[in-house]
Amino acid sequence: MITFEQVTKRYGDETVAVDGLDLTIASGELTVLVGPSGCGKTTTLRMINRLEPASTGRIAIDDRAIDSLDAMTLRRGIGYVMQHSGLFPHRSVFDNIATVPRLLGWKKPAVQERVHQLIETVGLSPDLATRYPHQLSGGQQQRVGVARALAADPPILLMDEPFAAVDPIVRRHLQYELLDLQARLQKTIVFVTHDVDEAIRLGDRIAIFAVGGRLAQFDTPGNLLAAPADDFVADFLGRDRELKRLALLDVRQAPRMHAPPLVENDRAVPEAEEGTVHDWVVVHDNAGRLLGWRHRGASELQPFTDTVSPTTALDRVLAAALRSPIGVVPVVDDDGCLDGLIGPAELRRALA
Amino acid sequence: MSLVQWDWVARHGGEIGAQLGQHVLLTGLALGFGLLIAFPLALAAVRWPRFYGPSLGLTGILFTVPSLALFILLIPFTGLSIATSLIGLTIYTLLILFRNIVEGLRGVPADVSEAAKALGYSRGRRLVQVELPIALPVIMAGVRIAAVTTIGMVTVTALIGQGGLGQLFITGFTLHFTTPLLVGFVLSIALAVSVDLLLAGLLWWLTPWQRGRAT
Repeated sequence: MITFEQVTKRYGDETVAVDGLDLTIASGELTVLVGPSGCGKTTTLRMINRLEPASTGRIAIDDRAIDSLDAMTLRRGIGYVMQHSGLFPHRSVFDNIATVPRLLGWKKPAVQERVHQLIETVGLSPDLATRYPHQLSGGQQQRVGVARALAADPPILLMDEPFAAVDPIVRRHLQYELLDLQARLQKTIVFVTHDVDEAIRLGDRIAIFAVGGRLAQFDTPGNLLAAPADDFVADFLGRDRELKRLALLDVRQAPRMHAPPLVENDRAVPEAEEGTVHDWVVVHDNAGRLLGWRHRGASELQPFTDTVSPTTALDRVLAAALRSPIGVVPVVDDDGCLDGLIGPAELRRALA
Repeated sequence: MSLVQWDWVARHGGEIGAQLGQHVLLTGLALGFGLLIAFPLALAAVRWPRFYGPSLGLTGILFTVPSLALFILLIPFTGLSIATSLIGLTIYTLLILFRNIVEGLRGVPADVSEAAKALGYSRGRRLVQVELPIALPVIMAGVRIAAVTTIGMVTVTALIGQGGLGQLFITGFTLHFTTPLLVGFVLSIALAVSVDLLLAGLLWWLTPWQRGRAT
């Protein structure tokens, strides 16, 4: 747990980078600090390992003030990943990753074992160990940066816009890998970004900073999107806030269409079709498996181009519903059985 | 009469060897002292940028003093000794060494220094294990220029009784005899070229990460 109590950072007399910050970062969670440039998010991060000293206030890790430790000891116990990887250009991948264990005086075999283990953990090929950083792609460099930060197994990992300099496709990959890594390692991660989508994708909790170093809101992504504290937060989250909320939910959290017009395949019961207000029906077989849809009264069965599963995110469901000629998508469960229909009305109820 | 009288060369082989030895020694010592002085100056200039301008100015002014004049200025203090030539030679290396060490250290990417700090390096270890290795190519470029310049400059100190291979020029001029002139000429060039290549090789050996990389 990292706690900030009334922490202020001033540069000179006038510039206030961080203003009276109170923040508790829970252990084992990925906390994202996000905000426009000049909001103090990076300064806040850098105060944790004392790259920047706080002007006033108290910062503590597990109730122990960070000033009570020698700065070098503190830093060796906290992983740090930065934007342009900050890899040592004169050291091989192996030696870069081995940095902190060697600073801590680990024995050679222990270092060797740990480095090879980490190369695997971050998904790098073992034959890259002898390469130099300039021989790697941007994505590989960031992976080495993460491995180096994790080398001495620190409980805390600070990440300063680590994926900002790689192209969008690689960034997505790295984001998912980080989530995957975090699911296994359960570190206390503090992650700085200016990209609100990245914050929502990664954060267990998000701290939104406003210019002037003020903490505007601190909550889970779902709560932030559902109830922004003020206009600044609402504006920062964007006008497509509802779409972002949909992305955080999946089909299990959405209702199904009420009284859907379903009929069992070729042994169609005309009465069932009569009762419906829609001009289409969805057809399934006697085992409940989806077959397709057809216009009411027509005999020609049309296949669905999109179906969704219980774990599909709701933003994708919306996209599928918009593509669907009947405006709704069928949910098909793992056994291949039809589990209701979802359309825009159901998505709206999911957000309510 | 041939241009080079090989029998003279043979008879004076020992002498020529000793002069070559002194040439190498003077060059090496001047570079060594130059590094010893330039290094702390450069570290101070990187740490306190305000210190850089005056240091550069001073070493620059010293560099512009004509070499012969500088040696003559030193004679009242240190006489016609090896100290005189060493002081002079060292002074001429300072500007090049100082400037290149500063440039080399300044050229270390900020995020690399920052990363070293964040990972828990002490200031001294960061300098030795991270910053100096990265600055090495630029520093070595300065050492190479300083070495070649010094090798040329050593011959001038022959006029104050030192001079290594420079002595051969004095002999040649006094006796109107081309053989020592040519021997001195060829040997000092050969020395400059081999020292330069040696230093280049040393850099190559010390910086495996630079190999095969466009510079």
